Amino acid sequence: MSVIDEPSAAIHVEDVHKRFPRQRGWRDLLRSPFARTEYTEALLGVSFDLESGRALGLLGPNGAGKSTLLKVLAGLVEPERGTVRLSGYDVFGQLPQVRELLGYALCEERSFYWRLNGRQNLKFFASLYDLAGRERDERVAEAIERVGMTEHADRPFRDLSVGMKQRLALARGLLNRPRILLVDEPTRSLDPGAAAALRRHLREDLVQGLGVTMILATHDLIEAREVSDAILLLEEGRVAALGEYDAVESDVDRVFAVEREENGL
Amino acid sequence: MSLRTKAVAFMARDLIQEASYRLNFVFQFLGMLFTVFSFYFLSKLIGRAAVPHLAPYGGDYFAFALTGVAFTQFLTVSLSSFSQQIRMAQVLGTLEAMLVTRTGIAALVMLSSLFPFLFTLVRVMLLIAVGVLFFDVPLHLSGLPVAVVVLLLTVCAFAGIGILGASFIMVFKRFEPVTWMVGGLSYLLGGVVYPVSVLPEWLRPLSQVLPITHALEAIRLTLIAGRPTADALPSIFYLLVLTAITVPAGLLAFSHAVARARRDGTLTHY
Repeated sequence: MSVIDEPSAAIHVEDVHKRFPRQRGWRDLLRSPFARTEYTEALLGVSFDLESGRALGLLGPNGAGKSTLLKVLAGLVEPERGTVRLSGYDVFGQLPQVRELLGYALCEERSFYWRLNGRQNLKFFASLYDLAGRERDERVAEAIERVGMTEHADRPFRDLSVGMKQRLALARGLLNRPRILLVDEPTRSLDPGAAAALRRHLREDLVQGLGVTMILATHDLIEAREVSDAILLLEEGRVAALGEYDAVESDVDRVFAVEREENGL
Repeated sequence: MSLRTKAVAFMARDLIQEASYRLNFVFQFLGMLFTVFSFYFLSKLIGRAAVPHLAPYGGDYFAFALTGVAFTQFLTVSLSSFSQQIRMAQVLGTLEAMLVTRTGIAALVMLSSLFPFLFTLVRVMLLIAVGVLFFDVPLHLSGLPVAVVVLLLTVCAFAGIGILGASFIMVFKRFEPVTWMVGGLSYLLGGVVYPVSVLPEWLRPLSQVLPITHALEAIRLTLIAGRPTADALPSIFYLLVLTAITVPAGLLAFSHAVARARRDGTLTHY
């Protein structure tokens, strides 16, 4: 499934399948210790292409496969089958080249060192991106400025608000000036004003300004519509819809209505 | 960028974190003094009774035990630091963020363990210094080069086993039998605080398989008893062979464990 011209694709995903072994409980294990392993299907034949300098909103209810797809793109989870190419590089055959061009904004506050301050955290991660000395310090300052954290970057990480921590997570994803950026739920805990500002930054500064190719996994329909050029809707590991927001809106409404119903909302 | 710059970044990270827990930082060093005093008083109790067993090492129980306890700290850190660092990064949630950078996972694990090794080195040097300066532990500086070589080989041999242990953590998250088994047997049979000669006859061959037995033997012979380098050569040779086996085996197991975790999607689980 493709809405974007494949030859110029920055991201090419073709027929990706991923399943995870299902954890068995003690009772089940004692009853039938040698039973065949059962699997949970996480991604079922996912295919799409994303052109350079465009933003794709990855939408779907809980368990739809959004995080798994991001991890596959980041080379953290290897699929059973399928092709994943970033700027022509095979994610699982040319991982070092992929790491050169990829940024992964994991907006999870646990992923920082709480005894270090914001700048110290970013300097450490910048070193892992092969940055050193003045270049590293400048790159860290640039990333901090981009997310509007200059005033707070020298405070201990543990003292920052949740929103500040998330902005710092985005800054970390920008340290290596990525050509492709994967962002996971960037505004999850932000107040509406801060969320709107961050969305503007993602759309106007990164995608339109710097030409970064971005995949944004989100639960937030408004966010997906505001930031993305196209939407990839996942449902139980399958691509339920792919296209511009207006074209897939009815599918989005249907899938999220099912989720609301299942959650009794 | 060179590995050296990354190493500095890891050590800065760990030093800031370690020093931020001030009481723990101070008490780690105070705790060492308790160890020194405990063995000093024990040596008073034992007196000359242990001399027949300790004759090859100069006959002084305090010097024997202090070197055993001090250098065994390298065993502990070599065996456990790799798996501990992975486990900590999994639990803290920082592993995923590190894995998406340009630094490979093997380098991440090695670099993460640098600070524990250096911290142990400082602690061991202080322990020995306290023994020499305040308790008249005899130290033959002529044996220092041999002791350094033995120490490096011991660290490498145990690091290979430690990396093997880290492979278990990568796949099973909490189950890590290697450190428990090798560490436990080393303390029991390796001649750490009592010489191997006090063990029952049938256990002694098993103690000779353990690298710690050879490491402590060589270090004590050269550093305390002032014996010539030639006396330590069999131990050095054994440690060399063991390193040649454990390091490639550990790295191979670790590479398989990472591949499996990537397939299972559990690379960052805890």
